[in-house]
Amino acid sequence: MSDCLSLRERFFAPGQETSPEWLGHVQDCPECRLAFQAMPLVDRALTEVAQVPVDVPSFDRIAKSVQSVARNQRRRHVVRHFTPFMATGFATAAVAAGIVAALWIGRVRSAAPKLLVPGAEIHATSETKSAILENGVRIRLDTGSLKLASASKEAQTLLLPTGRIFVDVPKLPAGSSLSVRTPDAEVRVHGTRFHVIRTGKDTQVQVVEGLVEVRPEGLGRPVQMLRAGESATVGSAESYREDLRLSTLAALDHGEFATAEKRIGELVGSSTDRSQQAEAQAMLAWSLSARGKRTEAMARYRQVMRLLPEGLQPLWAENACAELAILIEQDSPREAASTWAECQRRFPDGVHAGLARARAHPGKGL
Amino acid sequence: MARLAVSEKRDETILFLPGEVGERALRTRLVAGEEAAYRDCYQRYAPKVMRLLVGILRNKARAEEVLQDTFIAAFRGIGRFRGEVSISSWLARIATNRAYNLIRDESRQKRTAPPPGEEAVTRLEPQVEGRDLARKVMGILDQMDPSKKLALLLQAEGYSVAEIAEISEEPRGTILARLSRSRAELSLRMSAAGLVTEQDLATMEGHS
Repeated sequence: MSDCLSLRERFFAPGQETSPEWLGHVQDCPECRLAFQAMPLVDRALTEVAQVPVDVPSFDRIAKSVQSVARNQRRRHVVRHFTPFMATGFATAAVAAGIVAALWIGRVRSAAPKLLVPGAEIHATSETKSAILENGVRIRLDTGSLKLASASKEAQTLLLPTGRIFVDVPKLPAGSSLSVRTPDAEVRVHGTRFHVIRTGKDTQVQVVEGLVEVRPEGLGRPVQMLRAGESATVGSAESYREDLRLSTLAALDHGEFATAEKRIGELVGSSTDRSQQAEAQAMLAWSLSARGKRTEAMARYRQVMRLLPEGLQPLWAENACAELAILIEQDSPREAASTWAECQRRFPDGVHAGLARARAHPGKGL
Repeated sequence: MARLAVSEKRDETILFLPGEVGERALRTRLVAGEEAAYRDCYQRYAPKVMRLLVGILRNKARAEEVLQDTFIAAFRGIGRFRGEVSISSWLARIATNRAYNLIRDESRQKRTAPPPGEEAVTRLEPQVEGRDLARKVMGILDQMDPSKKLALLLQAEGYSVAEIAEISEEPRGTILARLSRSRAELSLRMSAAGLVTEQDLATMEGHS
């Protein structure tokens, strides 16, 4: 019997009745067969139930109540329309009075929020700009510029290269998120109100209501959860990377290779261009070489040379090229000559230029 | 398109576009407090909700009362409706909650509704009595567990499994299993009530 119940649970759902497992069971079980055979009649009966005409009371019976509801709704709509765009308390009153006064004398144009579509950009130069996203998220851009980068149903991303915005996010459906990205951090939210200010050197986040997750750009930087009333300042990604770079070099200098390699991992994750990635790989190769892992070190040095854009000649890269050639030389002097030649080509005026020339063409002497 | 229609043609009859676009347009008009939108919404969805309420409550007067409460409550709360579900599902959820609250209150106050079974069948609306099979099936549905009855009524009204899950505020898998069990139970109960004859079965077998 329990088998019957389990099978019925699985196969009596609309559209599932033709499964071979179910049809096999039906042959052996008279009760299920009866239930199954009568199924079209069940569907017909349910259809008839749905077609029974009903007398619906006229709308006029609730028209009076609806009128008052609609009136209140219009009032609420107007209030809701403007409230998120004003500061709280006295500041709110002052700003509101200012806006009303400005509107009254015709100096400020009516600023109904603009619907921001994916790819669209707004700029606030002389006056504040308001925008609304399709899911009801309201934005006020006080200064700077803002772009809606992507707008899938689940995740929306606003890019704020510089400036100040206030965001009012209604309760989003489960699994949905909205984030504001500055060059320093990603601010991810799930229904809240907050400010994001991107200055020249850092990003400041102030939460008015709800909970905000701040993810600084750069691997290894701690994620912060901010509640209402809390604020955080995230230093620029460049300064974070530079600090990380210096501390990695210090660790290498002190022979703390485990610490250095952990930091190099974060440095790789925080590197935004090929040159930075090449430098991080050079540090890793240096560490591996110091620990006696020659093969792995050579592979990393080769990667450095591939990553480094042609024409760039930083000292660390020239060192990396020379170290690679020296490591190769221990196994195969002939192959090393071609690596020295590569060093000579890429760093013709470098500090190792003479050595590279001599090793690339051994017959010509130094 | 829908936005334009709302702002520029407020006093004219607005074409109700099918699907999500139409729903969004109607929601925008409702949120903006446009009176005509409330009438449009009522005229579009009230018959479906009413039929559902008659099925649950089995009493026209009480169904009308709950229907009106449902729409007033929905209109009052339109600001909180974010459109995660369709308007139809949202209204059905409010209506079923109110209907079951009414049934619960009445049974608590000993002013019980007609007990499920034969009495309920005899107090059916005239239109229902005119349709013999529908009348008998409603009688059988009254004898079933309320959650199974609700699932079948909603399925009959054309709601999808996902929508029924939204309305019942239960997981989709639970609803799918419940629908399967309910359909099987209804089938057996119909057979036991003599609504499925040998001739019916033979005819259906011939068709299959």
